[in-house]
Amino acid sequence: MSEIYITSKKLCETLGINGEELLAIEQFFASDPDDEWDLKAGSDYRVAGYIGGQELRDYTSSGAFAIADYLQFKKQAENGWFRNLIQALITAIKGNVRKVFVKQQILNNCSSLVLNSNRYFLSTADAVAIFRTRSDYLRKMAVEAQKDDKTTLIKDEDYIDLPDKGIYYSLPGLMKLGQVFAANITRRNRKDWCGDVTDVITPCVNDILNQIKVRNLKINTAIQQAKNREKKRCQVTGKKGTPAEPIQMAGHHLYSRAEYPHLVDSVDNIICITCEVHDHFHRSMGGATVACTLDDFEAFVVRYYPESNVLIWLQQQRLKLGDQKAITPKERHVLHLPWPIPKLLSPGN
Amino acid sequence: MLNELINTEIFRISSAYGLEPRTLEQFAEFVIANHRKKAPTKSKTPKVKKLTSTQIKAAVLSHFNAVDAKALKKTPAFVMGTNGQNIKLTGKEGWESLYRQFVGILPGEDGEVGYGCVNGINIFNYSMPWRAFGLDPKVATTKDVKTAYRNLSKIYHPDVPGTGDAKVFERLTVFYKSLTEVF
Repeated sequence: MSEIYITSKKLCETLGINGEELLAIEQFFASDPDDEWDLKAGSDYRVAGYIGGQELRDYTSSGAFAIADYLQFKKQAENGWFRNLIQALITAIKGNVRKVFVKQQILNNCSSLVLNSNRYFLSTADAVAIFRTRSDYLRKMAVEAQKDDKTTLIKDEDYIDLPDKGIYYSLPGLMKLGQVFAANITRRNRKDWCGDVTDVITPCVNDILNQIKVRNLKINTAIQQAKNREKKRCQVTGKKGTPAEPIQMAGHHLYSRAEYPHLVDSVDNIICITCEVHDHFHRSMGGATVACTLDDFEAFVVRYYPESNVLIWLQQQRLKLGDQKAITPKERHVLHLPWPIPKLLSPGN
Repeated sequence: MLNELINTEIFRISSAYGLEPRTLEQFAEFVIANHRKKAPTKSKTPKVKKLTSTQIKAAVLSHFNAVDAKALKKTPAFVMGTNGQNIKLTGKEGWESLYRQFVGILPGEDGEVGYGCVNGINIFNYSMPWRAFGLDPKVATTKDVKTAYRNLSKIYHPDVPGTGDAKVFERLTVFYKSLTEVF
């Protein structure tokens, strides 16, 4: 793990001194380069900014301990008192920093998130990545979990076995696995990591779900904005509904949603067309789930609506959107999942 | 020892129902010898005092290191462990459910009998497959699990008249699969 830094404010709070006292200590350390009291920029602290011409420092653990030792010496406090304070602070900071890493690991490794019977499940591959373990060791821990009634993984509740996809674990299932990991691992940092996984995975997944929901709202807003931009007139046929004869309009994504998730809420990527034209286009592509691009739509217009003025607009959009690269299912990020989250059908369903 | 009247009746029943006369004679002798005796009374087992709502709540809160229901709902272990479950903490049932799931067997529910109870545990309230199969997880083998499941199937399989029950059998099958499937 990279070096952790303690802000001057946090250091003052922990040691029970004020900013002026810390400044005096810093000046004392800098006054005589030949004495035993020394703080080196880089290894003991970094400059985070300036206030009134004075450096505002963030301390490394060695810098914080040096100041604690100086206070110890000066105040002749109980042996180790200040060092213990710093030690507790560093442990807390390290714990928080580790939790951030755990959250990042979860965020980047839960694209397999699926819903089954109101429970969210993750694939074995994602569970392996989140626990930062090997698949054979995860399997070993799962077998270990089955040896106790308290941690037994119950089929369809804690895990689900799909013939084509393998085993998926629910969040309660991952919690049980986390408990078994923590009980069986001896290395302290690994133990802490697995403990943190059980602590942060559910809030983290909830945050992810909220983000996916928000993204879905943004998509709907973008579609509505594209329709309003064209005053609900079909950009291909020029048709517009009337109160007497309403026409259903669709917001079509020039670059398809699944393969170009980064463009899904961009108004520039959405064209307003009648549902009839929309269905026709997707039928010509071979289905609504087949990937499509701006080029495909342009070719469709040229073939079926050559007289349409939309070709110029499409050219403009091409310039705006530039070259786009499709993502593969493996590259798909959890934040690009559709809402509601896809339901996983168990073999029995 | 049996008089003519009884012997005639034994002969009639054995002929009518195809039963062994000797079996009926033995039964008649048992009735004559024991008809005045009282059935042995069941030894009294000490009555287990059930926990009150407050005690259950306190035990659950203590398990999760939470001070109250509000704090409990924010506990990572609670949030994760109850994902997908709709547990209401307004009544006793919700707290009981949490106690069963996370703390252990509620006093008075160990050795329970009645619907859904197998080997003294209610399989719908407790996910304790080893207990339901009456096995010790430390020493039991997959073969033992299979044998226990087969024996319970003979009682709870829906095709068994009288004792068969689809719901109980389904739950036992889930337990069986959980313990025998290869991860």
